[in-house]
Amino acid sequence: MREPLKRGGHPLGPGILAAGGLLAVLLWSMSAQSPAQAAAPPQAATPTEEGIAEEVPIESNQACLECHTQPDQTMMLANGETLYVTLDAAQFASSVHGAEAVVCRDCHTDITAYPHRPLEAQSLRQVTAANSQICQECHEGEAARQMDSIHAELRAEGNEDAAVCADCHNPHYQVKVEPRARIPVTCGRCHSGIEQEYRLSAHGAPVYTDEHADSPLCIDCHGVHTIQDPTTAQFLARSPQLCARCHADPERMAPYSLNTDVLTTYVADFHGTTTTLFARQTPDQLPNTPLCIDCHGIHNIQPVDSAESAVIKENLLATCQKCHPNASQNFSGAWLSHYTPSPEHNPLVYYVGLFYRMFVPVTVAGMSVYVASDIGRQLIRRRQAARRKGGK
Amino acid sequence: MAKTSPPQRTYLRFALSQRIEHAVVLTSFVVLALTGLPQKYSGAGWAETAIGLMGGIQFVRVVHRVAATALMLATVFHLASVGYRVFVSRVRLTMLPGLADVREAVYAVRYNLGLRREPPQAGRYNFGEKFEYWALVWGTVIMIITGFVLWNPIAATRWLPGQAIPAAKTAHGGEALLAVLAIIIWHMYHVHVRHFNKSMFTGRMSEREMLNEHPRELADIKAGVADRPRDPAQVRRRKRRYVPAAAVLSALLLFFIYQFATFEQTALATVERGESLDAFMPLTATPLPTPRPTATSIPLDPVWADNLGLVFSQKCVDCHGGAGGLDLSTYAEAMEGGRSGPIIVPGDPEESLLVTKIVDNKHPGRLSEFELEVLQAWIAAGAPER
Repeated sequence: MREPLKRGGHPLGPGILAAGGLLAVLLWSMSAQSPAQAAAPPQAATPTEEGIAEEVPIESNQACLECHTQPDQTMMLANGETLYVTLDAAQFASSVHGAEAVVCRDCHTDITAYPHRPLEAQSLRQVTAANSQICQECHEGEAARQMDSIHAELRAEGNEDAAVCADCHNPHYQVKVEPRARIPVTCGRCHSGIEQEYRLSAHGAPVYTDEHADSPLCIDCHGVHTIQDPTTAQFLARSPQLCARCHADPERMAPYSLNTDVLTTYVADFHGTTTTLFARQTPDQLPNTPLCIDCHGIHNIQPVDSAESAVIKENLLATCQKCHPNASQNFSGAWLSHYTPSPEHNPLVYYVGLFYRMFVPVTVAGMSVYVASDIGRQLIRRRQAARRKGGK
Repeated sequence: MAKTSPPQRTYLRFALSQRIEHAVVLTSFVVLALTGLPQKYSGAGWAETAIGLMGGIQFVRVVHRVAATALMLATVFHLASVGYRVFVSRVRLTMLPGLADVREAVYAVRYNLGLRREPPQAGRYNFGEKFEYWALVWGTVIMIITGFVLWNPIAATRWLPGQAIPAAKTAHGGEALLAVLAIIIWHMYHVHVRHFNKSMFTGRMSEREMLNEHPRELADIKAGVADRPRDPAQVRRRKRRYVPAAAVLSALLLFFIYQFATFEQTALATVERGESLDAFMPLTATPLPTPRPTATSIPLDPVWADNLGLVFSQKCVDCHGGAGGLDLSTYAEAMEGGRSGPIIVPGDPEESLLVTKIVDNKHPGRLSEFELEVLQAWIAAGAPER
């Protein structure tokens, strides 16, 4: 806040400047060019053309703030939505941008004079999208990474609902450190159904109540800026590895006393063997064999000992029947519940394995010893025969 | 000695049907091993490469099952033809194992260790051949039973505990490993390395080979006590009884194989996968406080002084108050207009920018409806100062 101003401007208090920046940001967003608006008829600007002719350059943040700190400053957009253009200067000042003395015109680069040019954005979505175009000027890496995301892909397909920078990061009020639970809440603004499920799940429930919970947030599985489409075969094929990142890590699992052999026992089984091979060899096509999420659930995953759990013994058959509709009660016992066979868990499998671990080497050793003795005898015979021949 | 001797006499050892049977079993066994072992060791790099080269796991599994079906068909044929030889041809049961084979084996070991001067005198099948035959029988039975459980796990668990399926998988893999190692160590050594015995392909064995490998059988043949041609009438009679019985049994077995391969659809081919909720369920934004233009408390008259001038000074001059351009702080400035000219056209509210801006809703600042009415009336009346 007390840093010298980055740009030439009036020696006003930085707080005011910052707040002014915000206002300007808002206003600019309205007039920022964005591809989505390219189709808007140029006539939209006509009624104010006279205004443009008499515009006065904006010299300072203070100029912005004079209007934009007035309560309830709004604009009607072309589609009838109301754009709120009032800024809370104090809140901006304590934001990340405010603290870095980012000024209005840093972001609202196209609002240079008063009266402002008419907005090309037709709707609130277009305003946000247009405003988010400027973020890459400073946040180059993040902007480049999010270009690979499902959000960017959907936007490229013309889906205006897909998130842009400013949907997740409020440019005026974003603070540096926030409680972890802010993340699912932020995602939940668009993905509210999923957030509701997550909130009730084994992973989500602790996040909202315990500041120190280390259970995964949305971003731990989906990533931050490079969020991928989680419905593609490639994503699904990789998903067991995603789960294993935590669930095969003894250190992370220690506080929860959870089995860390879950991936190896899954891969050893028919289901896991199949999906693993597909994931490695043809990741763009997945077999019908289940992934972790198909039995355990996704956002609604429950602790394995909860009565709600899809994989607790009482519910396991019903879970099997999702894919094996004719399965009877015994069938679910074919799944070894992530246990490595032992005399206590799945003794039949253990003892059959033990039998072959002994039977195969003993038989093979017996055959080998006999064959070795026969080879020895044949060599001796040949040598004797050769000697007899030579003797003759 | 051998160079000058005339062409040796040969003896029929395997009929054509037996050689064909061997070829089918050989082929299916090799295919089963090639497609099966990489499945058993699928975690290993070599196995993964092999599966990839063979066209992926799903194709490998199909090939494995096709080869298994071929082996089962060969097994049915074998049972029928053994039955024919035993019940119709009434051959000697030379493949039956017995204590004599144990003695022969012990004898062979002692001979190899130099404790006996001569090798054992084998009959039609030596102990090693019997061992291999019965090992194949044992292995095939185990593989068919465990294979059925793996192929039809839902049917199997109607009678067996669920654990039987992974147990069957373990046994299937263990048995497979044993079979492949036995073929490599025992079979390959005895009939390819030690002495390449071509009789399974040519069907015949030379007198010298017979003397070396099956001296007792050769002696039996020469003594005329080996299998002899039977009375054709008797054979015909037995055939009439055997063939229908064998046909019914074979049909039953073939039906079983058909069932084996088609018994159940274990899993649905496609399943709903992934999050069932719609991803995009936006929260409805909390409506912003509706920007209601505050009504002016004083009863307005359509004049500037103490009326509209007051409204402007409260609502407009923050922006339009002398910072440049339009200035609404005084009557004279207001009438002068902005840089592009007057905004008030006395007598014509429709043409006055001051009105159209507000009416078009394009301006951030608002007037209440009543204020707008008064403004329009004021301009219509010629925009008087007082």
